[in-house]
Amino acid sequence: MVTFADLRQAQPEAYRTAARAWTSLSEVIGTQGGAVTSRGGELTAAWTGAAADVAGGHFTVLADEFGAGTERAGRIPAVLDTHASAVAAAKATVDLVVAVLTPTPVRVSESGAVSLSPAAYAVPAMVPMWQALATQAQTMINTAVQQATAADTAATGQLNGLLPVAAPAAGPTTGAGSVPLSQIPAHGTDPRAVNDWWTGLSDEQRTWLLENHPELVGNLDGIPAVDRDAANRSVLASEQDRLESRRDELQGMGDDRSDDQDDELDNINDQLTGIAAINDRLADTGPGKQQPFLLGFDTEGRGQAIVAMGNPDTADNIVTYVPGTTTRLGSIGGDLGRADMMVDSARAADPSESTSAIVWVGYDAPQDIINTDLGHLGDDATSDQYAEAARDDLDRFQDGLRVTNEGDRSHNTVLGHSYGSTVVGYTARDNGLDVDGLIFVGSPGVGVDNASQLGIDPGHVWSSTASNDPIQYGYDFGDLVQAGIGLDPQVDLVHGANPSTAGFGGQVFASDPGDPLVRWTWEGPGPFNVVPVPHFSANAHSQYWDPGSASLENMGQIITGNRPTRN
Amino acid sequence: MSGDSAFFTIEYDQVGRVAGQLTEVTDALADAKANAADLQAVSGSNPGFTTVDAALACAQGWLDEVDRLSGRVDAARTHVTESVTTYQDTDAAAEGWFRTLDSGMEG
Amino acid sequence: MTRTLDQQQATDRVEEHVAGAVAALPASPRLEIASELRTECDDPTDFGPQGRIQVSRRYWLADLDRARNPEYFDALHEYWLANGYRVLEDGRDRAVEDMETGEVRPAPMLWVEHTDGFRMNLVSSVGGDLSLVTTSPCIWPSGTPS
Repeated sequence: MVTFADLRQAQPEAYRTAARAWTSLSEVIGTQGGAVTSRGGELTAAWTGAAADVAGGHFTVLADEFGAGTERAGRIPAVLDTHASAVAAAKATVDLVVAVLTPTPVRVSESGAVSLSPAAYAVPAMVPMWQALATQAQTMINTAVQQATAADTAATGQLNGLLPVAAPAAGPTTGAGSVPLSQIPAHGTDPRAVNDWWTGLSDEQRTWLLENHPELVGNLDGIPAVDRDAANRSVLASEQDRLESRRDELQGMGDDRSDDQDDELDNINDQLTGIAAINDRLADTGPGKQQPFLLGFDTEGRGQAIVAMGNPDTADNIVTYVPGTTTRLGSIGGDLGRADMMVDSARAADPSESTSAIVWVGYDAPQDIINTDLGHLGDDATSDQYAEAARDDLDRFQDGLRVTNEGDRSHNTVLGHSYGSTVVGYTARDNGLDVDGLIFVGSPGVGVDNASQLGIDPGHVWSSTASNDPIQYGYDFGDLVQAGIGLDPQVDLVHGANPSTAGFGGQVFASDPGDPLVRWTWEGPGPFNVVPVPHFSANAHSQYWDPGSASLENMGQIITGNRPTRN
Repeated sequence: MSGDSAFFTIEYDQVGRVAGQLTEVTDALADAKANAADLQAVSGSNPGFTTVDAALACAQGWLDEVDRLSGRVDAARTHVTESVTTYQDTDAAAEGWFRTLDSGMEG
Repeated sequence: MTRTLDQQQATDRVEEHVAGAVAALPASPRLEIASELRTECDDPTDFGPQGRIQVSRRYWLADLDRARNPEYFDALHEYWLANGYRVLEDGRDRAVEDMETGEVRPAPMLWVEHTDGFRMNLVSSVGGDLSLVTTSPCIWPSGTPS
């Protein structure tokens, strides 16, 4: 983990210097590989016979090794330059914050903690202003440090995946087909590098990894879906056993459980619910239920899983569905159903194409709309911290789909619902997504003012908000204040402009209105039903997948590359 | 000078020349290694960043790989040179034997 | 609402609606089940009662003559209006555009709801394949909240 102090001392230029040396080295390897090829040609021009054939073949093998070396090492400079840029940008931010705060009574500690010095309280009327400045400074520092950490993790992973591929003679040293653990790419490694590594292994080695270390390969983007599925089913089974044993142990303790153990038991039961839902779906071969492929599974924290309905590597169309608030392993059951609905809708729109719908519970999502727990104020759906932390993983997952999909380029879309749309928007905005379309439903904002800021043709940005969906009333408080005092008439939603408006510049598609926000009944004592009682419902926020609905049918059309037609 | 038999045809001079030119490849790789100090430019800097360790591990790994490739080229060069010598010896022996027969020294 | 059809009754009712519609067509399709799905009616962030579902079945209407699709749509439209269904959306003149090629092909759609709350949607794919999806209203799987 990179600290504030580390970032202050960082020297990004060193990475660039190294990058240039890598470019030179990889070029020399390439040039000499060419020389080996030339010499091999001259050899076979002057020598024929059995021995000559073998010698000539050897020169070809040798030249290929040089070729592989230059190609692989040639990818290192980009990793270092990208890392240098990310670190430089993060460092520039923290340096700027420190510089700006220097003449003020807002202090930054050596560890990056921002606080008010006693001088800040000299004029009480100014204290709120200093506090606001401190809050913003802290946010900027935290964000920069997070970004530097993320860049560090990504670059480390990528570099670990770009070591020379072990020559067969230097391969497994223990057991038939075993693979040294240090050679397994780390989480975060570029999917192309992961795929090269995987396809470069022998069948024996791949089998050995799936049998002995499925937990190290199941979540790697770039490994084919069939293999990830095999690995993750294995992990799911063993994790289920482990969690059930621990649950029984904790339940047996009864009242002797500590508060932490109560929380642990709740988490385990929640995750087991999600595991049961996945198992049910794995066993379900009913009509319209395409074979699921478990592309990710992890019980850390609240648990995550990625489940594809239908093999994405052989599909013509792929939609990745990113759900919103309260998303976690335990809640995945409903999302699996939505994925099946999307497959059904896509097939009804065009049965001549195959579609895979992927549930991506691959990020840590906010669990509350508003968190009122004093220790966790702001850790809820109003915060963009969860979207920011999800970007690299969602981006890399999409890149992985491109690497492993077979045949012609598939038509890929990413669909974000509610906070999930914010995740998708942030990723598209900051990382870029290698997709053919973005779809937002029930969005509280996607981090931008305009569709043109999402790194994709605005003609391929689709959004819909049901007329009874309360999400459209989640205004950004700061914007409301400014509008209220006449400063800026544009009032965005909490995470950005509402993408389902004409002014956003994307393509709005229709949804049915959904259940009304407020339903009134008449109640009262005895025969006197004279008291009007309101019943609130946010159902419309979740009815986008209702069978037969305009939104579901429109989704099916967008997923298959057609313009939506329902009104 | 060339050699011919039912089993091979070889231009000794040309093949010998190719073997000699392979030393240019190993020399170039050695030069590249000598000039690759900057691969380790990140050493001692950027504390707290695991990328530094990963980059240094890559540097060591690839310098080792350059050595390995160089070794492979050198081994190939050695075998080509030995092949030439072997063929020349065989060829010369056969030529000498036939000349002996021609001069009638053996019956 | 504290009492609904249970899941089996809802499924049976779906089949009744389908049988009625198919009988009204001027040709006999081969019914091929495309999907049988159930959706949860409630969202975790909703404030209302949890646990209700909707069941839906989609059938392909196979072995029909595509050229007669408009006729099939009109026949069902007439049948539905005469048998207690109201039209929610009439898309019989609808065409669908392929976003990549710009090609536009007819893809009619007709969505209706019966007085018992069941909905039916007759849809054409971009290639003229017809499917009929029938959906129940929100029900408790066992008929009552449990």
